[in-house]
Amino acid sequence: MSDLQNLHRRAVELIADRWPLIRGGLLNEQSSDAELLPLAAQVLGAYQTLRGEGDEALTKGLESFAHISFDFMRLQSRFMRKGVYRATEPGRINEDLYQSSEKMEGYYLDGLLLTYAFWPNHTRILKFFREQFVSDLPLDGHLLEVGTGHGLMAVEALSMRDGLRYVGVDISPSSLHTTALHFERAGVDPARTSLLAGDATDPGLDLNAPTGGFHAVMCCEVLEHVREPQRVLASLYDALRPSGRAFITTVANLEAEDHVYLYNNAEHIREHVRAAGFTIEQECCLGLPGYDHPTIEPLNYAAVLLRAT
Amino acid sequence: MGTDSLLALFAEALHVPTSELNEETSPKNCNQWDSLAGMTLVTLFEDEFDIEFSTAEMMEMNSVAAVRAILKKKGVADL
Repeated sequence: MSDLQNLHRRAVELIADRWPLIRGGLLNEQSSDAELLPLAAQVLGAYQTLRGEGDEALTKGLESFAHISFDFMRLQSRFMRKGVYRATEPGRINEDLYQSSEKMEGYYLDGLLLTYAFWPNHTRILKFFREQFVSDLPLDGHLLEVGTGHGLMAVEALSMRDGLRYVGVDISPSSLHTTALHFERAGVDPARTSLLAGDATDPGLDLNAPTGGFHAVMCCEVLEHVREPQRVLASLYDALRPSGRAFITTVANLEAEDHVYLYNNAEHIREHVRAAGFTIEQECCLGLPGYDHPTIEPLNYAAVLLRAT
Repeated sequence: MGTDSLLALFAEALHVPTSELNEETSPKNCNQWDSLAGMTLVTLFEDEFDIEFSTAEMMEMNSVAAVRAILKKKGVADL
């Protein structure tokens, strides 16, 4: 077992001891998750690359992860009773959360990054991302990301494809700052990357697209955060060149403080994807253990999409 | 509210007889106190005492004794 895997095991034990309610579907500790552990440990390594290897950074990261997990558990418990998301105003969420460096850099981005190390569904989606999307990216193509967040997915893609050029767009200054820091600390050549502040659906935003369009686009954990995900999907489609691929992740029936658009099931997501013009090449649909309900099925969804023409 | 009444709320949310609960009861020694039951407890206490827990407070609610201490800190008297 590697040093990182040992550290991951100790971190899981610490979480389970300090915040036992997180155990179950929200913690990579089951024997069934064993195949995920090497990748989960690598995510913890990515967190250390971003925030440092000391105990203080790790403790802050685990507290941020617990904060995100408890917020989720509380809202999801409410959602399972009510069947609707609480948040309805993206503008207000933008103001209260995405524009708040105190929240974004205080717990939100670090906590979210570490969900890929500790939430089994997120680790599985990262595995799917690597194996089904990044491995097929052209070695020296151009990749657009809508919603950079903490930069984990971008660093993964840029590390696995060392000739890849990258443009990232986000409305949050903290996301852009954190992604830039992540690139710097991961040793990504700045000449390969460009980070833009703005809304990717804004036709006035110049994405610095290469002639013919991007070879690939990705958009993780964004669709459920906007009122009209169809517009985001349309802008992803427009940014791609023919035969280009897109990677998306979203959720159905999973609440968070900033989830606005409620997808009812996987077919609902597929309808939007197809209406935007995409063909679905690969899918990863993951239910969430512990939230059984006769009609509401919470799930994480990821897919590789093709713009055929 | 007396101690038994607080334990009664736990018993209601966890579906455990009051006689099996004490100050040391926690998610670690009570299988029924899982994440869903924990969030049910949060809602139950918030409704019962007309208060709202912060995320930090929820993160500390790891035993009956810890919950009692948080409720006292929030001004819930007669526990």
